[in-house]
Amino acid sequence: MKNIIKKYVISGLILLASSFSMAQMNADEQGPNVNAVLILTVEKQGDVFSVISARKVNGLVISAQDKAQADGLTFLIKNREQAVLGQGHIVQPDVLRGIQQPNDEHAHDHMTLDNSVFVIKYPYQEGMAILNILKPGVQARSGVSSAPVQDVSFEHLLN
Amino acid sequence: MKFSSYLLTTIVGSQLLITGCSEQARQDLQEALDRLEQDQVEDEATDTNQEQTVEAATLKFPTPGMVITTTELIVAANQREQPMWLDVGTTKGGSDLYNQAIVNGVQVNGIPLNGEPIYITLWTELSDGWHKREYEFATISKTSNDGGSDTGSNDNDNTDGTSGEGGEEKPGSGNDTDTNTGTDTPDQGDMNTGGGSPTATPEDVQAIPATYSVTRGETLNGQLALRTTYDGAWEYALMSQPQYGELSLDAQTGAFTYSAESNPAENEDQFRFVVRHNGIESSVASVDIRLSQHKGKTLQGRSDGVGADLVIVAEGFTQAEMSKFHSAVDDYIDFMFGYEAEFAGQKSAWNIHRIDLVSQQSGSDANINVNTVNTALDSGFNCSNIQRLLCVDTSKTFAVVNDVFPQWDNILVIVNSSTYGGAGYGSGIGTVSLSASAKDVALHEMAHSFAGLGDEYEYGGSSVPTREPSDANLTINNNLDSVKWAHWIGVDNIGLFEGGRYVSNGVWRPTESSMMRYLGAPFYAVNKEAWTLSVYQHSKVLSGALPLGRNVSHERGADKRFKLYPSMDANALDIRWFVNGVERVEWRGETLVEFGRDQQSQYEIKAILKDKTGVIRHDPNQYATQTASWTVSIK
Repeated sequence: MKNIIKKYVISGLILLASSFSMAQMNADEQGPNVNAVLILTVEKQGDVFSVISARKVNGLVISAQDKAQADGLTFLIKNREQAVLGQGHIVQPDVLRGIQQPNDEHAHDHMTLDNSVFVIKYPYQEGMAILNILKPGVQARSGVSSAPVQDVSFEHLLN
Repeated sequence: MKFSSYLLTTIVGSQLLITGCSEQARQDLQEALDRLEQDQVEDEATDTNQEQTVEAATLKFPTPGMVITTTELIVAANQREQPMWLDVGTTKGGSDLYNQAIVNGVQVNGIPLNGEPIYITLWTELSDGWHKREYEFATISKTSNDGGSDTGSNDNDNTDGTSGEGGEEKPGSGNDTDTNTGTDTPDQGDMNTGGGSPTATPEDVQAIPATYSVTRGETLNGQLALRTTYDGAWEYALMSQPQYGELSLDAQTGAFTYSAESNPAENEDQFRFVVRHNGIESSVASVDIRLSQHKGKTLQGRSDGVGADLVIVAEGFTQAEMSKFHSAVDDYIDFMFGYEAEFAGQKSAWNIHRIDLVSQQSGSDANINVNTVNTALDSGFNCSNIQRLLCVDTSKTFAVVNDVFPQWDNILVIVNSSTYGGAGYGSGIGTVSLSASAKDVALHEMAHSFAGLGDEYEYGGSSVPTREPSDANLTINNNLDSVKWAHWIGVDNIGLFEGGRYVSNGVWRPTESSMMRYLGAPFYAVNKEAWTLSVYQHSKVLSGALPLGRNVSHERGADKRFKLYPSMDANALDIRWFVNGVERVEWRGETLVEFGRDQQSQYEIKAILKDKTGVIRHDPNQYATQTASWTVSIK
């Protein structure tokens, strides 16, 4: 008798599939008619993510969202029962670019920060409680688990 | 029936067949599935002898109650052991969107985002035959047209705190009083009259929702606004009072004053209002007020997130130096909208906000690792041991900006130092000093984060990307006929120039130079197109339309007025009107038409708006096109 597949593995698989396909489809636009937004400030230290603030903001819409990119992050937002309430992408949140000197192409730098802070915005739904981040490209190639990196609860931070 | 032609997965045992995606994606997904298979084996080893009741599959995603917000929807079941069949349709039990066997999950394309529900029927074949589970999901309404293309909430009382839903009047600053009346009535000189004597109905007037930000303990002077196609002495009336401040309203002009409490229990407040005239009353609109800890001002545009939002923050400016910061902000705005001729016409699609963040001391640390100047965001040069790299505490920056203008799309921190420096965080924060070249740096960084453009210079990398970059201006495809900017070949000397994305070979850019390669260079057509598409993506072509609702009516023998509210300059748009599918050529370019007196039965009226500036040649997502349509019945 086959066992039931672990929920998180399924979630990761779905995200992998959606992430790869989205990158080619130039898709994922968020329409304007949503009236509250969840705003999560996330700290990334190495491969560990933590939510340092969470806020529901009324009277706000998201008119566009990041598109999936190979070097971006894909996230899930779930409720306490692990049901997925939303998914989205963050493009290169840990990249820092230096500045150019005028007309000097050899004066620009870019680097990937080990420690960074970024913000996730998503149309708010009642019950949103857990952030789950998947970095598909890195994980798939590195041979480590394809499961989402971790569940991070933010419910206690919501105003 | 539609289904993804981009990525179709079929899992047979541990074998994966994937079509429509790259080889790398195929390999990555196969690896993931291999591990999934391994996990399953492990699970089976630990969970043997458990009794399993075979039941019809349930839906794993989307989850019940979820509102569908994307046209491409992943649908996944909770099991993959039994044969399954998926129907997705716009009617209950329907399959006009998808009708196919599935293994566990698929991507369904073409989900209509029109506010109407979609229906998912998941069939499972069990020992006694096929069993189904049915689900219904609401969708958002993607269009911002309050009129024809949206049957949604503006027909009803706006009792849910919605802000900006079709409310496209500029709500103005949180601290400045707008002296106009806040009424947007039609310019009679523009009107194409067909005769008749139109009369107003509630669908012809809209109270505009708004969002403001005010510092706790301070007073906000605001302006309520309405839209209507009919002149008249409209009056503003409060429907509810705020909880954490004193409100006074001038019923004739809509000007209001809100004095915020110093220590409110919540960080948001709200009141509601309507507009009335001659027995006609609008639906209820909400004004949401953010009670922030920092002082902010909206310099132009709206505050509810619709449009492209740039927030400019002071760093290293003392209270006495704040006018110096204001001048730097004004300089940057002038520079940004003057950089390309086309950008000036897009200005009204932008919302620009300023945060007067006060620092205890003036300036910035020469070395970020040596704290010599006490500033609000702890900025400093020599970040990562690169002298010109100007960093800030990003956590503090986000805390401040999210407090005052959480709708930000881009954040620009202007640092009070004449030393040349700046930086661009992938998370959306740009930093610049007051150095003369700093403005170029800021715009370059915005081109990354706002328009999705990549660096076209060749320095700093070592490996050629194996997948096609998502950047509009970089490619690994050196075929002139199929390159992503093939529609621009030959214009502005656009072609294929090898080198970009930090390597000198194997990546091509569209022009020899550009703003993404050299500071001070033009954007050129490919990059301008990407920038402009992003502007449209944020602002939409239309910010609203009247009358409200898709289904409207008027008296027999009378006319009705139909009004469009473009987000940007109407002269930049090709506007065409159709009545029952036949174009009214004489109305081309008009934003207001009057029609209906000769109609004897129900008719359809539609306007199609499309960018005509020539900046956009390829718009696969139709960001620069929008339709407003109404079904009109005769009473």
